[in-house]
Amino acid sequence: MDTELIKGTLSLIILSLLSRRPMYGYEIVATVKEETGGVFEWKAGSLYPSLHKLEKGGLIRGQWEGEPDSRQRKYYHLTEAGQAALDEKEESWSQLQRAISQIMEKSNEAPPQIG
Amino acid sequence: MTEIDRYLDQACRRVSGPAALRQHLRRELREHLEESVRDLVATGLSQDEATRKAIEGLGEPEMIREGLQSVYGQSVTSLFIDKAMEWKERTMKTEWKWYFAAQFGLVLIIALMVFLIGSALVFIVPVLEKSYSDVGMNLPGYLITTIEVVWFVQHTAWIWLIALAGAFGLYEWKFRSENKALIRLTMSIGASVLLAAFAIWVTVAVTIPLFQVRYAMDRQNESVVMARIIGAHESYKQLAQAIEDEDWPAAKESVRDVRDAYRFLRGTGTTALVLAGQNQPESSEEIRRLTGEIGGFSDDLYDAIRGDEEPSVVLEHFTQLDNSYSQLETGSRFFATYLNREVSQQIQEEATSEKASTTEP
Repeated sequence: MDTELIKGTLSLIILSLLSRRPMYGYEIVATVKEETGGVFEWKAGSLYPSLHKLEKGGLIRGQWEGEPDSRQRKYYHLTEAGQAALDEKEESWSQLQRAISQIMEKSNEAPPQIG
Repeated sequence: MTEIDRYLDQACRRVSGPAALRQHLRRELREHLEESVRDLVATGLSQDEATRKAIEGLGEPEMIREGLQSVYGQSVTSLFIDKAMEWKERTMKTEWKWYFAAQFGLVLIIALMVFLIGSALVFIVPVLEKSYSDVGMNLPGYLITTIEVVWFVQHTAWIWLIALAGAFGLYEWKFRSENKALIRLTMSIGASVLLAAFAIWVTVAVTIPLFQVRYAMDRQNESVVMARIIGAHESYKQLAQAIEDEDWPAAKESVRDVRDAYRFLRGTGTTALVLAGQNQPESSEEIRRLTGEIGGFSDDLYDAIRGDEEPSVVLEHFTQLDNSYSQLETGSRFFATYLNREVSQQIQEEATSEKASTTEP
């Protein structure tokens, strides 16, 4: 998998997952790996800077949760601003997806010109 | 320090912001790693293998650090600590050796600083006080302030030591941190730097006056030097008379005056020029030698009289002194002029007295 393609979609994926329910970092990585069948296998080191960037931008909110005498984890919640940003990004992604698909369809229809 | 601790150090350092932020980041990443290790151990890996794989899964610490720095900024002040940490990791494989070498080096530096400060006060300050007194100058204000500060610290040293021991004990007992040893070392370095700065201040404060007084001594006003030479000459005449009369108390007093005067004169660069005369620089060396001898012999004579030595011994010392003094009188243009003036004055007085007696009826 071309990692350059993944980089631009990181925040979209994070916001999308958090729109389902609050998650912590390790859970996000595991969920993505499971749902993509291992195609997306993030170096989690790129996840945390993104999470903190989104938190600093107010699109998500992190808080430590867990029983007092058991392990605590930092769960991230989607904020209202984050929901609005997600809607926008999904729209942009759909447009991009359609546009690229159209180009690739037309490219596949045309005879190959390899020179 | 565990492998996870080392990884977190590299990932989180130099991230700008309060220490609480870096602690927060470390905690979050640690939770991720520990959960990852648990899951990997559950698949059958050993603890060490699971740790290695979990760290691998998180990625290069530099990548995390750069990502976090792009969000929070980069701390400039911790750049130096970061470079030190990199040097340490590169050069010292065994942690305890590094800390031991660093602490030992610091103890040596602190001991050296204390030695320098003590030496300056014990040996140099008394010399300075005497030299300034000799040239009739007062000690500079900054030197007096320095001496007072050191005196204060010296006399309250036990309070400082108790407070330091208490703070150190409290730190070891109560403070909890993954970087405890490094923080301890950093504080020791800070204390050494402060002490070194204080030692440099004290050294400069006592060194500059040394040059100033030396310069002043070399540039002593000619008239001051002449006055001291003439004063010493008068004392010398009294000494000679007292020796002849075997008046030892008077001799002791006179030779002490001669001794003190020539101690001052032999330390003053202008003395030789005054005695030799400005037109005879080639005799300056000889005159310097003689003034040194006179100072030394008068010292010996003073000790002999004070020590109630036999008159023969006292006379022997006086003879040595007299030889050198006579050579100085003979070889010095100043003395020639001065003594001629003395003789002229004496002749004039005698002539006046004779005339007065012949004109009486």
